[in-house]
Amino acid sequence: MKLSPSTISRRAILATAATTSLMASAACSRSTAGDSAGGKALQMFVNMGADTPQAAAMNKIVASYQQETGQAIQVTAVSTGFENQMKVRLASKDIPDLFSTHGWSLLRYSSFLERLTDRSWAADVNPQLDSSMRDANGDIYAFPGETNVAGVLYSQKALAAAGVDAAQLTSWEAFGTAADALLAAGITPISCSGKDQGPAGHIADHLAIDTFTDEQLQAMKDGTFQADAYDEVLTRVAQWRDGRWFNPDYASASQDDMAHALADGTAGFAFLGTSLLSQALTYAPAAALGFCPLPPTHGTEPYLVGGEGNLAFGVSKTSTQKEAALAFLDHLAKPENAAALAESTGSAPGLSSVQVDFGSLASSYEAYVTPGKVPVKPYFDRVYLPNGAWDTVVATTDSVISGQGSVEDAVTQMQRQYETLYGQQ
Amino acid sequence: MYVPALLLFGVFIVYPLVRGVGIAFTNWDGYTDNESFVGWANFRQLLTDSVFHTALRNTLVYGFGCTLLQQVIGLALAIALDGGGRAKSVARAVIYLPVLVSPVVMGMMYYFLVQYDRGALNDVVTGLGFDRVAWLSSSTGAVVIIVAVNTLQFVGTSMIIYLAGLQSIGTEINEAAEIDGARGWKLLRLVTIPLLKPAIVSSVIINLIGGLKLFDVIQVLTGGGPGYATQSVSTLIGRTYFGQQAAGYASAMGVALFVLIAAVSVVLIMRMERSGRTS
Repeated sequence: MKLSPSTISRRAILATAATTSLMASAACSRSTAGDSAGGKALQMFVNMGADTPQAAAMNKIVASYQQETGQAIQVTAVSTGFENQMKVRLASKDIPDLFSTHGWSLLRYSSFLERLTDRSWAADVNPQLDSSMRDANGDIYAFPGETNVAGVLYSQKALAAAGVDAAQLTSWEAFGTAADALLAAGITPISCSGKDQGPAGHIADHLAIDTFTDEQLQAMKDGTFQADAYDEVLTRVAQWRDGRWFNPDYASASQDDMAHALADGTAGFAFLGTSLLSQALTYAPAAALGFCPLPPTHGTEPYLVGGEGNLAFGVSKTSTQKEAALAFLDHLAKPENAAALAESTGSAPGLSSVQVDFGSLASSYEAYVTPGKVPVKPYFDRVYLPNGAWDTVVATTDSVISGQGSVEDAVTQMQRQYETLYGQQ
Repeated sequence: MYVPALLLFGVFIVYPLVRGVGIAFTNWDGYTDNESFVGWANFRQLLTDSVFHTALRNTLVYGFGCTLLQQVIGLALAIALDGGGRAKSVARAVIYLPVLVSPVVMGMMYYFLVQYDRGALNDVVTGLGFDRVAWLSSSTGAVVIIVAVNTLQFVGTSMIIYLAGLQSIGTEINEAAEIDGARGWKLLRLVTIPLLKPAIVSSVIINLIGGLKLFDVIQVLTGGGPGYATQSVSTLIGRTYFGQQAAGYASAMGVALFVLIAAVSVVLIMRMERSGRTS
């Protein structure tokens, strides 16, 4: 037999290869840039999907700024793998002028960022962000486009079908009763994603901040891992797993599936930031979604979790266009732009003076956030775990939810990683 | 004349390799300038790290499992599709086409197939009146699916190699064997397969190295989960380097994987050569 060139059509090969490359690049990132009016374009590297409401808001602001000032800005939006790409760029000293700090402006990126404490808007940063965004001297290194708020996210349609009232979820016993009612009604009590690296970790993170006592939290800060408290966190997660409260497709579900489940009312609860609700609302704009505080574990009252979100941006201190980059950051901080950014993610604004239209999430914000009576605690990992421990939080919680590992093994692994990273600090 | 090639080889192969080995002896976090020499600590950690052991076991399953399946199916396809005819040409092209697709795209396609809620496979299952199946929720099931997807994608490579091998066997050899009474399985076992040894060596080494380095399909289908159940050493290196910010330890894993692949390749080549000489 002879393999003639016609055996495999060259055109078919080229067409397939070209289509594949295009699909792969389009799926990963997208850049937008305008013409520069004589100057070099600012490079901005952001952590957002190219077709998300956040990207739309950012592109609109960039376009108007460019029209107004003539300063070109090349925005590169990366939805997955942002963190990895950012670290590679930092290691290779190829640092963009502006970049998303996505929750890590202080712990991870502050040594690479320009200090922003003296900017006109800096004094107006929401005090709830202080623990995660200001250092011991009160310095800040990123402009917060949102104050990320997280609690128990819920689908009103699902809760109504099971006769559950979100306002009554003030204890874990009440939450358990609600979860069982949802299960009995054929609804998944808790939607989570094992495929995407993040959602599982958020559950442990949200629970840990109130499971650890003040003394234990201080000990964590001082370098002593509190295994008993972490065991308590994961034991609760294991109980939820044993109660079959998680979605049966947990292992293959993505964060997108979580949004669909809430939008469709096929799941009752989820534990993530409110950006998941914004994502769900893009699928079902009329869906009744909301959030409520987390029931206390060792604290005395329900609480929310909050801090720096994805929409936070810093300026590289080695940028050759530092002044232009700072000027654009100031532009982002203008009330109308700061409001547009926060609204795009369904979060509270990053600046106290900015007013935001929360849309269909307004009732939850008015009930729990605006009055300021519900305590907002910081994300556990960002304050009490060493930089780099988050991935292990995700992996160990994932192993417990999926039943691939025991609570004891997960705690041991977490402790080892904590001690390794703490020793490197 | 060789200088440009040597220069490129040095810059893109030798330097990264040497630098990678060097990083394996440090505690570098992968992005800052902080880096200290830690001796053999990272390599010692490999010996006691149960997650690395899981990933290593999976790597061997991916490597040898895919290689075995690809040889058996690839050879069967090559024999079945050897010869002329339009139908065979089309079949060969169709089987080879997945090789040209990015493993990421291949993984996405099969993810959509085995997804729980909107997966095509579960649509069939529920259409037949059964409950949906969480195909990727068990570690064994997920590993099997990853092996199957990788095999399906690269079986075309084996098929093409074996087709080329079959072409090199002259028709007179087969005719002579048939006159001597060798037909069917006997002809395959005693004549065809021994004469295909060079093709087998090439195919096994290419598939084995590909399987031992498997990354993209795992990343897209399971992300290494549930837990660490489907991690390969390659995916674990990525997660350790970037996620856990332990570039030194990740580099130690990389060195271990390099040694593993090199050792397996050398052993295979030596055995095949010895076997070739004796036959």
